[in-house]
Amino acid sequence: MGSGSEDGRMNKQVFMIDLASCTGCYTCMVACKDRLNLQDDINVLKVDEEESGNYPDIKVVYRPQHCFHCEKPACTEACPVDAISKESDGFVKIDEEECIGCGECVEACPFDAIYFSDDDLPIKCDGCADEVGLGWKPVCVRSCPMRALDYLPLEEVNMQNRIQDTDFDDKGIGPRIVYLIRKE
Amino acid sequence: MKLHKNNIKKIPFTCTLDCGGRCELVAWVRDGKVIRIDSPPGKPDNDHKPRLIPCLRGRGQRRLMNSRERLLKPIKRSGARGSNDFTEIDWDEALDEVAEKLRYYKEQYGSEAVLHITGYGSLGGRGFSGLSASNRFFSFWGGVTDTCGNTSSWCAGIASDWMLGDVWGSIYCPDLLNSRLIILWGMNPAENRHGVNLAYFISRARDKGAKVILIDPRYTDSGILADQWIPIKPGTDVALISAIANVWENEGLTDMDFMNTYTTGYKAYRKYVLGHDDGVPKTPEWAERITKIPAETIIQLAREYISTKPAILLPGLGPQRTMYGEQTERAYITLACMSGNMGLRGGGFAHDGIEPRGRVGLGNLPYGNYRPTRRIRSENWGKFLLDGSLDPSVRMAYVVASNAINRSSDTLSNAKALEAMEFVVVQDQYFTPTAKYADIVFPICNDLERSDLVSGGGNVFYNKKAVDPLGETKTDYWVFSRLAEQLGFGYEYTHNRTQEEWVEFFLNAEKLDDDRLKQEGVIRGEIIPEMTLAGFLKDPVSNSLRTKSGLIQITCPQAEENGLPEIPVYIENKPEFPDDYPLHMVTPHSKLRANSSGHANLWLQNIEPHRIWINPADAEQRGIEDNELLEVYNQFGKMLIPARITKRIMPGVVCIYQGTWFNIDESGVDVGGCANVLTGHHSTPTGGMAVHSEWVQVRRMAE
Repeated sequence: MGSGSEDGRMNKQVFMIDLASCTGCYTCMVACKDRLNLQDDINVLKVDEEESGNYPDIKVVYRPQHCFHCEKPACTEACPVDAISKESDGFVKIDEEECIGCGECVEACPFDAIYFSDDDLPIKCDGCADEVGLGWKPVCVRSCPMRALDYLPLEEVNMQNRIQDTDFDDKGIGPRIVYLIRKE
Repeated sequence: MKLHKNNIKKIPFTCTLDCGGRCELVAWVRDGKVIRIDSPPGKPDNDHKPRLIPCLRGRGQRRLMNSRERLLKPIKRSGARGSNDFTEIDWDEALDEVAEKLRYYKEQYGSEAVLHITGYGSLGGRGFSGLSASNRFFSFWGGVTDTCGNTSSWCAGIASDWMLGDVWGSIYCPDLLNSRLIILWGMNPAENRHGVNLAYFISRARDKGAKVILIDPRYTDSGILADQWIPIKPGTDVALISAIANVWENEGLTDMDFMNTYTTGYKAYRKYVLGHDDGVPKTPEWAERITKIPAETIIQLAREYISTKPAILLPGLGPQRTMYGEQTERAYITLACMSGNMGLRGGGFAHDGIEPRGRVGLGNLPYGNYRPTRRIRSENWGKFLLDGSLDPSVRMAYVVASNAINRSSDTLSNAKALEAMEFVVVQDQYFTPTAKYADIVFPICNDLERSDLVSGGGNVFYNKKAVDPLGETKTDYWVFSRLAEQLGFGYEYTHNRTQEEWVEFFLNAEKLDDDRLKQEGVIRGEIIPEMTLAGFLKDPVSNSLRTKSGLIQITCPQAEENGLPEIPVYIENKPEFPDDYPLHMVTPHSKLRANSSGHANLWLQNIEPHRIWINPADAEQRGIEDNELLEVYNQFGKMLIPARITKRIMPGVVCIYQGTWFNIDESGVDVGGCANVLTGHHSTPTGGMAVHSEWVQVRRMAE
């Protein structure tokens, strides 16, 4: 727990999402929405439902997705006015004052993690940076009734009965996310 | 949003929705407004005291509080019943009129001319809200006509009563970590709470090596926690159970020591299963035709269940909401007994997963001496009002904390029944479809706008009022206090105490650790509950059950007088019009609502648009495409709802989640997708809800 770096290095924590125990209850989505006071039709944390297989041997996976605060963010590259920055706490932040609402970041993000809000400004997951700074976990993590989410150092991710989901394409820009699936 | 620590108050509370959980939440309040809802951070999370983490319904309450469907002022009908035509009036006028009507009907026709309908909008408190506030009121006023029955678990209660002497099967959640096999039989803890942490412990058990099997017409979200999904035709659970029992008997695998020591009447069941009575052995092949489960799968399941210990059968409450649900519930208990798992930690049979209990017995506000003189069944009250069977008839309806039209079967008949009333009062937080049929609507405040002491799940919660009631909303307690004053029993109802004063009274009476409770908002129970039937299993003579024999009754003497066979045999429930309405409809609870509470929360509504689940084969046969608007209809009504084509439901079955608000257009078609528009007035033989025994036809709108 805790964030911020004592010596100024980028923070090495990752979001961990255990797809084997995520049952798609959407509580994380609502908790995030409540914290950011989002309007009814916008979510910066979304949950996709993936159905596969042939009846009755089907499989359903719910995949929460949000900005993963990449090591080499595409949005910071794309922004023409340098309004997006990777902070020292590891989170990628959009400066509302500097932002001109051009939408380049929305286009650039390969994970479609940035959205336009009603006031025509881009909005995305902010990592609950202020709460993490106080020593709490991000609200999605601590709201999960299945304890399927976490935000922690990569080396502390519990891999018992789990392997990393290699279906997830990291697009080469180092999203700080580890999806876990059950080890068969 | 910035965290301005200084001017934000954090007030713990629990939500009082109709749900099998009771969770810990905290409201952030600034300048008299709730700005955020959270779960309290920093709480320990261990097996003995796992966090009581709220779901999206609880967490989304801030949006719900601000819904445009919230009633803010008393309103009086100015147009036809069921329309939106109402005018705002002030409290005095509204209270005067209702008090006068109550006086009038009692004097002219007797108090039983008033029908009291209540529901589960607000639960667990000491009597200030919802059904407890109104039940109290009428207990001082007179003998009304009321409702009866339990739409949630009636048949489960019957079986528990007849077979076990009223013992309800539960499992202490950490015991699941001992289980090697967990059978979720129409049990969906991922979407609906049967205990706050049941789904979590099932997932943990699976990680420890337990196999999880889901038996359900649908691959619910709980399917994600399962290793195997066995789709089963709705209402045929007893056929599957009979076939499993048949395999065990044929292979000599039944735990006869258990049956001989702890049960009575097994011989009759054994004869049935082997076909010695009717000449029809209940083989897997026999069951395949009925359940649509391949015989091979049934045999495999039977062998796995009997050879894996501890194995626990966890039935949900869906399967017993079918015709003959009594048989389903009796069959579960019978099978669990035969399996040899009763008494094993992590084995046996349970309807919910529970936490440590508390020793605190909170008092409740006192009741008066009147009791209802007549009761009609809550799941189909409309029928009794329309068929003239009530004599003397009911003329006035008083509906509290209940979206009665919406949540009882045969919505259109319920609407007709209220239309025919001379006078209707509805008391609710939201302008529900039921409120539209009222003459006077009293607007009620929500959980965060009033104080209460709430018990639930073995814990005690202190809900301190977080913000003032919105608009002119009041508590049910306040409304009934004013009416009681006008009608001459004000003191009896209130003892001259306000709600706040009563909360203090209860705290002092129970010597509760005030500071701790007030600061943390909860006192958690400490006592680890005993295993179900522990005492009986240890010594069946000294700790005999409250059944006729003192043992577990496989044959039930009460069955015959209720028109049921004495043993849990399969009874086929044939659809009334199989050619016209060939698709079997199930109407489960949605994770987006607690019944119809929460429909008005647009955050939740927008998560998953309301659609009818239909298998690709049934869709293709009708030329239906995904998301296409469909007409769904049967002998009870018609609705328009878009399609969700999915493999997550078996062919021949469709699913419409219950709880969305009914909304009839000019042509009498429901465009709200209210499931009960398509459910009928039938009950199970002892009076249970049978809403999963309905059939519909589906077609494209374009035709």
